[in-house]
Amino acid sequence: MKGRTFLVLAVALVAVDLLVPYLFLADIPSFAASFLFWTALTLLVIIAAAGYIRHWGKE
Amino acid sequence: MRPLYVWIAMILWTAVAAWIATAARRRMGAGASEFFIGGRRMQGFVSGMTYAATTYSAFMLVGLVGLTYRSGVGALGFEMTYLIFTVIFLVVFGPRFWLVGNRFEHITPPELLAHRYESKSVAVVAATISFIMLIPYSSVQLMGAGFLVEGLSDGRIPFMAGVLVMALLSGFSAWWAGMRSVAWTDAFQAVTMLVTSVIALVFVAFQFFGSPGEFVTTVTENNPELLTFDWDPKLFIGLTLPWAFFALTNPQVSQRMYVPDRIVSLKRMIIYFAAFGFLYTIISTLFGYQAAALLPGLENPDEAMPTLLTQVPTLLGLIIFIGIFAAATSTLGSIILTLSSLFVRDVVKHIKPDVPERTERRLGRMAMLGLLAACIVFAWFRPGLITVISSMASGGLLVMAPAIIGAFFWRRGTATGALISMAVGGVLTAVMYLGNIYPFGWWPSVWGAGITTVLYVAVSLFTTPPSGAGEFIDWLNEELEAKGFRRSRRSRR
Repeated sequence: MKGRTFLVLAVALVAVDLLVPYLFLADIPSFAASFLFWTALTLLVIIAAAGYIRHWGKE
Repeated sequence: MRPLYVWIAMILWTAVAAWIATAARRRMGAGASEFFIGGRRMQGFVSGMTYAATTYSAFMLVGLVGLTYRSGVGALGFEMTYLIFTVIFLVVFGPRFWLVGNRFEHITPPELLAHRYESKSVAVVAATISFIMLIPYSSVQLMGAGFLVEGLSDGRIPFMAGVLVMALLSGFSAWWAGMRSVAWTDAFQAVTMLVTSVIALVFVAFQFFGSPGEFVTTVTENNPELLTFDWDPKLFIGLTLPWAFFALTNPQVSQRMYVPDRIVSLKRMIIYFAAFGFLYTIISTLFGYQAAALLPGLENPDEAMPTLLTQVPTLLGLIIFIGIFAAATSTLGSIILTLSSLFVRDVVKHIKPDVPERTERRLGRMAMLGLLAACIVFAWFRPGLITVISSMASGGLLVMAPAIIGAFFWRRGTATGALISMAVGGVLTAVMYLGNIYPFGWWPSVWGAGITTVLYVAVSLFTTPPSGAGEFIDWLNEELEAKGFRRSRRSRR
């Protein structure tokens, strides 16, 4: 992945991390709202990172 | 809880940790690198667990539980955002630190900065900021242990007993075999932290709520305000920003990017750490919800976990106590070892470059004693500014971020830019924290990060970059391709 693409994705991720709970989930009193969102987002990032580094050292 | 039980738990725990440290010493070789970073021979699991145990301190089961108890789901968002940033930084900077450290035999993160900026003064300033910010932060770990044993025994075990036992244990671990014993005991402590907290969480869910499902229903019905997100954005950003850059700016964790023995261990370190952090964060916040449902109305939210401990059977309370004690001990031992390496490599060797490696180890051990003594004295006075001190430590270290990022990615970054941004940014941030100055409502960390970045860029543009800066970055990019950390241009086509 090119550095610029990576940077754009990272900035988009930070925006999603902040904006989604504030704009769409803030008032929902449920574990299925902000709690689930941040948990799922973090899990996705970890899975994506695992996929990205899988090929390290193989080339 | 009877003081005898607390004493037995602490003594047993100390004995096990001492046994692990002794076993680690048998594997220790000669040289400063061996002592301070385990000779770069750590395997993936131990690397990941020492990274996790160093990162996650008693804050998780005391501070984060309290934060969730008081202000709900924002606490989870804050901690998960930290984890997201850390995973990304480990993927981006892990290979860079690892390659450069291996090639140029760096032992401390400031040494890397000194190399890239061709200025030993940069290392001295980075090390000085680390001392100023991390000694009070280490004292907070000791104070946490003191308050915990005092509270658990209803004041029958004095505050200073907890402080001294933890100082002794973490100091012994670092002294005895350096990084190898710290990393091995960290691995044991990390597993203990995770296992004990899972047992306790499940027990409380079944014992007091009937089942995990009932627990969720109870919180949703009785504490709906803790599931909505009403944090002021300035608070969320101010609190999260310093922690987001923790992986880069805190030398006790960035130094751990040097320790894996090979690429596969580096990969495993990242994955094990991420998995640990993910689970431990969820567990800690769920404890906060359990405490909120079971113990409403506590004046001090930091008392939520210690109070929860008094509600569970003695054995379980001791198990959780050991988990918290382990978390604080492992963080403290790692910081003491790292700061001692900074003292020797970045301060003493700056003054007297020809210090023999044997002497480096001796000086490192002496520095540990001095650092521990300073932390104990600090804890003895029990400053009432614990929260401010903790925030200042993370916010203050943030001023190193532009210089660290620029070292790897910006050829125009200069030593003068790095020096001025760190020194001026550090002083301004500390003054704002201590003076409780929040211009326009934004936290000192946000101002500090902004001012530091502007200073680093502006001063660098008006000064001459080091002659080898371009060569350093070109070499690193070639190595990243050669070692398979990123696909080469040829193979992408």
